[in-house]
Amino acid sequence: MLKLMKYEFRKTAFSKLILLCITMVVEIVYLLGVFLKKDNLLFIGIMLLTLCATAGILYIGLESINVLQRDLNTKQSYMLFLTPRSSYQILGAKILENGISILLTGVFFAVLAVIDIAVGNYKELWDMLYRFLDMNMNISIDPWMIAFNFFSALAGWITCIVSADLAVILSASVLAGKKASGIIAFIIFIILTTILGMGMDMLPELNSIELTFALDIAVSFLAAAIFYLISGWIMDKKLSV
Amino acid sequence: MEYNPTLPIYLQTANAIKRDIVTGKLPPGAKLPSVRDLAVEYTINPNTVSRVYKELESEGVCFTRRGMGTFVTEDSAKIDMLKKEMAGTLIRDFLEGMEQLGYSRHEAITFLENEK
Amino acid sequence: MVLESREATKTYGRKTAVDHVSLELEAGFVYAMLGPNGSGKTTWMKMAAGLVKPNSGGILYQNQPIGIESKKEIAYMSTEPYFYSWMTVADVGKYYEDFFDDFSMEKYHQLITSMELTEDMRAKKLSSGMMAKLKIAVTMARKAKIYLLDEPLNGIDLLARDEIMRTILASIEPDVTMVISSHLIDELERVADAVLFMKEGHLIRQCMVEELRISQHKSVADLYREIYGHGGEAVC
Repeated sequence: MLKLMKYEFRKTAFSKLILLCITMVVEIVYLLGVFLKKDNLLFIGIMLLTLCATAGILYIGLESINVLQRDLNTKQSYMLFLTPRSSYQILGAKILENGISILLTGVFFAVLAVIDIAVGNYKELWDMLYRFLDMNMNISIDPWMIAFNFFSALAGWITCIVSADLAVILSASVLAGKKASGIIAFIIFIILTTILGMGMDMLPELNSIELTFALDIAVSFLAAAIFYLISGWIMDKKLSV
Repeated sequence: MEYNPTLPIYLQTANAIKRDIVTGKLPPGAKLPSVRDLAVEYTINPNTVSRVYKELESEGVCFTRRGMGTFVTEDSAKIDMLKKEMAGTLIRDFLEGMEQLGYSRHEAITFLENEK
Repeated sequence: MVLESREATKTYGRKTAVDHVSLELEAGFVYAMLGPNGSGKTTWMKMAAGLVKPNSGGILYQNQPIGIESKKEIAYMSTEPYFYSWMTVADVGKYYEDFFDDFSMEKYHQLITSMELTEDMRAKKLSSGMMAKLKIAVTMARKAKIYLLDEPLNGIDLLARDEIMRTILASIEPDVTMVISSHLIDELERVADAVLFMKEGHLIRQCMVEELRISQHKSVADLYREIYGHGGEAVC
């Protein structure tokens, strides 16, 4: 399993490296803004860092779907399916590697944000914003809340990718050779995510916010696990490469 | 070596080895290549090589020592006999061919004598 | 009997690539699988390799359906290159070492050296002849029980063909079974114990080649012409 994950990482290592390089350049812009007290640079830095974080996390997910697509539909597929490994292991390695990558990228940008905020020394600004929101909109900013929101968004994104994986696998196996298999797979993906979204909305509010988010994340991962098992089963029974 | 694809490969290979034995290229008592080496040398199937060695053994041209390999017989009388046998085959083939062309045995011999 | 195909059938849309193919392969034999392009050789091999799943029927290795266990002992080499584009010759060997317990890095090194490949060559940039050698080297460096070689001589010049054929022969251990597909007969004429003739997804004839030569004074090429040339009946 670790060996499979190693090669999954190798397939996407290049774009991850590029993301890291771009982030470093942008970070330098931000730091120059801080230390030279240039508001323009500072502003551009903040904008671009936010963009790097969101686009990066989105891209890492999308790329994994693309890699799966290639691993099922080109000759490259032999590399995986000749190995004495089960479909569950092959797909599991992909999902785990990608999930861990997304989480680590999330943690990386979160830590970077904390550091940058500390370096920037915005205590005054922060307090002002805090009071403003508290008085006018009755919203209290709790760092934990932000963290929970962030990680539940990451969990939701990972689940979304796993459901897209399921659609890709369907189009390469059960729907293979049929007309409009791509479109049918896309519709299946939309239906899956819609059902999932509706299900998530129906989750009860628990008496503590922490528990509500924990439930949210747990349900996301449970859904991902179910999609994974269905996908693995289809690959095992129906996939020809 | 060139094979005739309509004749059994094992016989053609056995004949090639016999030629090497009677011409002394493979001297009496010499060790023959392993099955795999011979298969690679002649680019033929290893099962065919095993059959070649079995054939040579049954004719008494070679013998196998357990765990050591296959060797050319040390019996020089046997090799002489083999040489004569092979000559006999050539002559029979020749005579048969001449007969098909309509020459008598006597005429065939005259042809041989006049051949330089 | 080491491998058994029982009515194995695979369809792609409306086209039936392999149609109820039943055959039994014995350990220690070299089989030549012959037939024109599109006769079902590749699809049958991919089923035996576990890459393609049959629609009906199936293939058994040691009386067990093809799966993880069979993949440990059956080495398949496809006609097309399939390595990841980032790989070098060394990476290809490392990949096989990572996944196949029967892979010998030592033998791989020996084979790539004798075939004049170097470790730092990029798989993507190899010529078709070099790629064929790399595929053979990495496949034969496995100590498998069955080798399925799909068109190993395709698109390769004569000298390289000899070299590849010798590499294959040198790797045959007792009890190893080999299936080599080709639409070229000459190269396999001397090497095969038995031939399997495929036509339009069917296995239409099989016979032992030495017996063919002994009892009928026919070459495999003769038989091939009889079968595919003018549809004449061939007797085995």
